[in-house]
Amino acid sequence: MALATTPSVRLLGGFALRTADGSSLPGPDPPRAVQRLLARLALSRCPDRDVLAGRLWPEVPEDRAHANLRSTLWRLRQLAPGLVEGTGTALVLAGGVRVDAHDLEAWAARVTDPRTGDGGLTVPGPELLGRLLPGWPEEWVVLERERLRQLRLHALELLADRLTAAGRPGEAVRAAGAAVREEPLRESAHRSLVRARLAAGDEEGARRVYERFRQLLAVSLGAAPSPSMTGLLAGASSGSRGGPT
Amino acid sequence: MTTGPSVWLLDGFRVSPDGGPAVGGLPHGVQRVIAHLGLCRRPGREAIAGQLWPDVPEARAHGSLRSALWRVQKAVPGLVEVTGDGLALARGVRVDVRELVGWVHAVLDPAVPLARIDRPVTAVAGDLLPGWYDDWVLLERERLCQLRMHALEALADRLIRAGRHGEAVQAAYAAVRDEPLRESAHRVLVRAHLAEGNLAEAIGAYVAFRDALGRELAVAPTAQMQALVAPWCGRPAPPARDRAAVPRARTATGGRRAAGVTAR
Repeated sequence: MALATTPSVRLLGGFALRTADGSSLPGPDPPRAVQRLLARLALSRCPDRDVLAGRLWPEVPEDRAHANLRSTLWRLRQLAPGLVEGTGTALVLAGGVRVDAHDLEAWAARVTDPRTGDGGLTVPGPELLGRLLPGWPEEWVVLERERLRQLRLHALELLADRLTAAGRPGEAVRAAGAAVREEPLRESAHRSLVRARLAAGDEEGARRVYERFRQLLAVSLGAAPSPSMTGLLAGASSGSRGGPT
Repeated sequence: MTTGPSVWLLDGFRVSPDGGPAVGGLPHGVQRVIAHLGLCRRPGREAIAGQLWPDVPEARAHGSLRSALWRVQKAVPGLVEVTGDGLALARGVRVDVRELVGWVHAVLDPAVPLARIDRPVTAVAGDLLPGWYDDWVLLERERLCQLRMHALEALADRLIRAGRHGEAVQAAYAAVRDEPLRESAHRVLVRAHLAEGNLAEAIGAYVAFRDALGRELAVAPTAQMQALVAPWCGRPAPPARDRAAVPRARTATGGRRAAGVTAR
């Protein structure tokens, strides 16, 4: 199937649905129940209908939950036929449906795998940098959001370090910068950014990154950067400023 | 990749003759026989008939077992091996639960080097046969859940000591996800963040856990947990954002399991 015509479910940065012809759905967003069903199918590996109904509608009796599931499936089929396949007691997203959260996991697995060659080290575009379903309060979303956040931050930092080692400091700065923007108080992201800037020969920029982080940490937490952060710049040529005060 | 007959019991029942696409349309009674054999090593016919059909006379139970075995043989030839009075899945049949238990043993065995534990933590996730409510499933589900959480915490600990902090966070977080009010899982998560020098992440994880525990159980974290972040804890917390790692509506004991439907 050509990429442009593959139906896709977007969960990062907010819910969106693209149908098989590549366009977004006409009219308003799909009803919230349809969004929740698709998100749940995309994020869960358990295809059992009973379990799905129980987790999507935990507060209502079982038969109501099943009725809700049936009517939500019906509405989904009106909106976007062919997105979901049912076989017996199982319910899954159809084979060709793309999910951006899966793309994020695949990217993270690739750039953190030591066997990946330099060619596989790519800085992700903004489509993979959004939060999972921002604002959704469901516990399964909250937990998955935090897991994906940690996965992405760690992968960005490791990617930046690998790009630095591969002599591609410009891309390393972009990767580490994405992690720093996502979490301005995260030291490991700043360490990767400092390393990338030093490798690019931009010692002044590295010191600026360090100094900004040091001040933010002091103001927010009353704490100082760890020795592994201060050590990065102590090793650089004698600058005007030393380590933390 | 085809790998011979495979049985999956985590995240729902599936069986395949060659590790490929699952066999569809197996009646629940047939699924129960395969699942039971996947969980027990070599039960006698008496035992399995009694456990699977506890409410019918013995003769009926044996008849049901015979007919289920006949259907298994037709659907996936060679899956089940009958020896004398015993029944078992044939040698070489892969069962995901057995692989999970093997992974747990490897993680807990200090003689097994970390390099040989290369299965990603997402590959060992999943509830046993969700939606099944037989006693033998419920007990085994709880046992596997405890085993996995214990192993995930131990793995996170080993990864911290090996300096592999990102993976340590993922392992610890997998345990947190299984049981969001389990303190030992949150402790190792906080320690992984601290080991990486990520103070703000550590405090964020601590605060999310402390708040959830107070909300759900009206208790405070143990002294052991508080000591991890004590040097910074009189200070203001990091900016509150949409990042709480521990959600609300959750009961003390296995809210996730309790939240499922209650009868089949």
